Amino acid sequence: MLKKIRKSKGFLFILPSLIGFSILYIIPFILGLRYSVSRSGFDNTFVAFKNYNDVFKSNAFNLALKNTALFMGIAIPLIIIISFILALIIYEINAPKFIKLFIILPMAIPSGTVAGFFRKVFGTGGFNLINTEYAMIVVVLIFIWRNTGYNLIIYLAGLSQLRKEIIEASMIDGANYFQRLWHIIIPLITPTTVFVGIVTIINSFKVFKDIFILQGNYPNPKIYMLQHYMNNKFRDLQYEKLTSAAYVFAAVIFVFAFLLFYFDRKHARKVGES
Amino acid sequence: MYKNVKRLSFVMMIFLIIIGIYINLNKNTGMINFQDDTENEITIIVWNKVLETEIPSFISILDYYIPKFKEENNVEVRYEIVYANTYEDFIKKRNFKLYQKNGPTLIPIVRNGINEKILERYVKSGVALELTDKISYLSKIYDGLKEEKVYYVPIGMSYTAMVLNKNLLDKFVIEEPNFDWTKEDYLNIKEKWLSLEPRHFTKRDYIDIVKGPLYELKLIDDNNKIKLNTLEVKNFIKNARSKIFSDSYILSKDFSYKDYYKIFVEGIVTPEWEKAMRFYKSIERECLVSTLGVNIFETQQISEKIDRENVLILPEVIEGNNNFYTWGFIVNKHGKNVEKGIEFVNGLLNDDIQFLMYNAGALTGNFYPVNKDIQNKIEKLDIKYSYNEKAIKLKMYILDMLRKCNIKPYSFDTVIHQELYDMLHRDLFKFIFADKPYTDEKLSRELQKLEHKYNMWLNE
Amino acid sequence: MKKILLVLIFIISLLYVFPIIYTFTNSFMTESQINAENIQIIPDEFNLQQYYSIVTNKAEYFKFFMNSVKLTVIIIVGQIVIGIFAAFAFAKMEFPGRDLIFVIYILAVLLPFQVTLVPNYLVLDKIHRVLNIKILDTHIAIILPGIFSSFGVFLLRQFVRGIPNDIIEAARIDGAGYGKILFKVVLPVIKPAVFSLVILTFIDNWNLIEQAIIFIDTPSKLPLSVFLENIYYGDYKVFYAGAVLYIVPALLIFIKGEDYLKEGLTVGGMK
Repeated sequence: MLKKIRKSKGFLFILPSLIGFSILYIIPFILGLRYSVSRSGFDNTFVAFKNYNDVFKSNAFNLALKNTALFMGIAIPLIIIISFILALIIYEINAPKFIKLFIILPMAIPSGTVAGFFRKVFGTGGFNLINTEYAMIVVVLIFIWRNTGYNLIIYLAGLSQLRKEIIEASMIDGANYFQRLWHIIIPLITPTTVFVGIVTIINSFKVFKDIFILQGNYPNPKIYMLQHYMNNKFRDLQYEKLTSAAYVFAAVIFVFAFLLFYFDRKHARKVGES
Repeated sequence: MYKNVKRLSFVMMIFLIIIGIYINLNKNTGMINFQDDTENEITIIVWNKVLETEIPSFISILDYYIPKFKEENNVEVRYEIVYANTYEDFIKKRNFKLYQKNGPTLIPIVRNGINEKILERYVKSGVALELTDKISYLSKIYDGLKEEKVYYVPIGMSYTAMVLNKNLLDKFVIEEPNFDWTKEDYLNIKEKWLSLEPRHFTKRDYIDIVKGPLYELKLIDDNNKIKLNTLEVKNFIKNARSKIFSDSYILSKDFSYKDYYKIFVEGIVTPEWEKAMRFYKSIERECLVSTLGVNIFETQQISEKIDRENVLILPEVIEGNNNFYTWGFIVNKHGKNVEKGIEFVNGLLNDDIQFLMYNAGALTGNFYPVNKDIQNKIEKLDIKYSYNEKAIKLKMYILDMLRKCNIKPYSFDTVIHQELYDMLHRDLFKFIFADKPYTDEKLSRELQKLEHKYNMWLNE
Repeated sequence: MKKILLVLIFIISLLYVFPIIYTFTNSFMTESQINAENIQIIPDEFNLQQYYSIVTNKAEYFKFFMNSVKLTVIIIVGQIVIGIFAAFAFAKMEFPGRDLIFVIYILAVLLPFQVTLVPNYLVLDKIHRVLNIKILDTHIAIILPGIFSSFGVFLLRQFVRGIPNDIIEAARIDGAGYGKILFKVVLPVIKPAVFSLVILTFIDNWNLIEQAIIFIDTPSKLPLSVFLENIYYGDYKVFYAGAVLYIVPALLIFIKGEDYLKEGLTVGGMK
């Protein structure tokens, strides 16, 4: 009897969240799938995998997929490492508030505002990186600039939660800082890192806005990404292709997400939490 | 245990009460309405900038027509206004609305033979309703505007005319060209004028040397693939260069390639652009062709111009210079009250309404009626206002061509985004205006790269 | 060692803030100086005119500002209220399908928003037609997805997991029910996380543009972020000035929030 109540209590706690989330996120997700197997956004006839086929045949999609994978493969690990190191330094030396502020501020600036600055620096006036083969560097830089603050906040909160005793115990044991870092802190911070990983994936989609303002619908092919493809498909009223492309991409992302979950599970078992 | 359930339910209750209060407060602002009073209406989805402009826009005729339609048919007609700052955002929002079940009924669009992609998308995706036997008054329009499968109904049209400076022309031309002059006639006259003394390079020259010939190249084949690394393109570049850098033109020392780029291609208001515009204004009187065109169907305006200034006004002969526009409606297949929407469009082709577009001898909203049956009435009106004969004859010439299908407004054979066309234009600009000509080898390589890029965009 | 790191991190933070300084100083410049070829940092003249033009438009600017505030505050509060319960349940309570549902929570938001925007729009439209509650073109259309986004649940869950089980067991042995455990034991410990959530949710929603443009039709209901985007197409200097005024509340929130974070760190120790 007690066990049953305990179990239903769980449901009660998540109920409001679950209802809202289902209506506003899960149902649109499923509806999106339905669009990807229809002939068009306005025609519900079932065409199975035709859209997926068409999308795979498109050179533009393949380029976009390649570029996006490249971008995420480079930028996401890079920004996680950078934000972790910065967070660690700030935490350990107890840096003054304004340093945190400076790193966090880029998050708050709207894309249009800094576009002028980026155009001057990376465009035809300045280094002119964005019109060359190395344009991806610009995208990665802008992404790191904008989102480090986000991850920094999370890491700082995570670091502050580490149990001081374990760390002090290891200090008494005579381990130096790097040993402490490698064997204690990094494993303990794994749940936070998993979270940062997922959140960074979500944030990586937002870099589109900055690039779009700089180069428009048809940018330098080196930085033409999936979001551009989807944006153009939406403008062309080809919603079925947009959704097919997106779910293909989602499948790839899910693989990475599952990897992250696996690390999370492994760590949880190791540290013995529920 | 029970205590916690109580606490939880207490929190939930407060939450619900807050929601309830919020809903109550908003009840009066129409957030919750228990009756749907929008059943009997049709909607026209339009950009707020089109409605808010002070210049009469193509929509102006609807100000007269909508009250009449409402009365006769007992149907409400509403503008569904989309507020957007840029055209891109407007298209995005409009597309969203189209996915609704009872979405907007009518979509006004402007066709100019180059932005055909928009219409193609509406047709291919299943938004545009096929109207081929549903609009009875379609037989009244000029034959040049008729199409086999009708998805778009034109309501008004506009054609650009060139304004030539007669003072200059009389100096070296023996016979004044007639309305049916061709592109060759114009270019010959221009050659003669240029040979008199070197002239400044203006936007008009840019259109004649670069934009026009590029448009005629027809680079896209039937499989929607573009061919750029060809002799044609290279010759085009070579010809353009030889003309531009010949002695006929004084390329202003103050402008470099980057400046020309900004002026002709980017079109953003920069200090260079303003400098150029001021410059062109100052030399306006020395230019053979005025930079501003006029609408051939604005007989009143043309008549005044001929009377007051010493100009010769002839039809635009360089293709691709946005000569022929029409505006009209597409009917949304999933729109509200589609039947009434079709009647609305049909009524706009009615003699009386079309005549209203030529209200008192001047165009309401810059577009001329497409209805050929009222032409007699219009002629009588023109005579009554004693417009200059040349102005009237000019208009008749174009209308005649339309009747005989010698002018095809939708002549862009292969459909490509206006944006891509502009981009291609900009990319080729580099080769044409470079200070030193590209070697054949380098040019081939660059063109090949461009070809690859554009093939990708075309088949996105 | 500490000193070196301090200098290092100071330099790095300067790199981050440089574009913002550029915006800030450019907001005082004249048009011609902004359009000059290279990057100008020091304004030749100190022009307050563009600020005046925004501030004299005070009624409008203030209205959009209040729209943004309203949206953001309600979303933050909603995320916390709903998130705390769900996060605790996902982390410490047992019920069938707990982990599966949580995985779905993550996967459903791993898509770029364009994908689900049309179905989202249609779902809200359908609710309008079926239940006769108008959601589109009101702030609710933005608030609801904001509150029920899984972000808050996710963040808080990660931190609740960090609380050792023995404490919870101890409290239950003492006879506390789950609700009491949540409020008396868990909440104080995860205060840093809650404040992080406040700041991050604030960032996400203060800058909201796409959803606002799509879901809201009437211009008067738009949030400040969209309004700023619109005046961009006029004048660079007015735009920069507007952006500065726009960052100021964000700045204040950070500074204030930082204080709470610090407090949370000391209070949220053990026990």
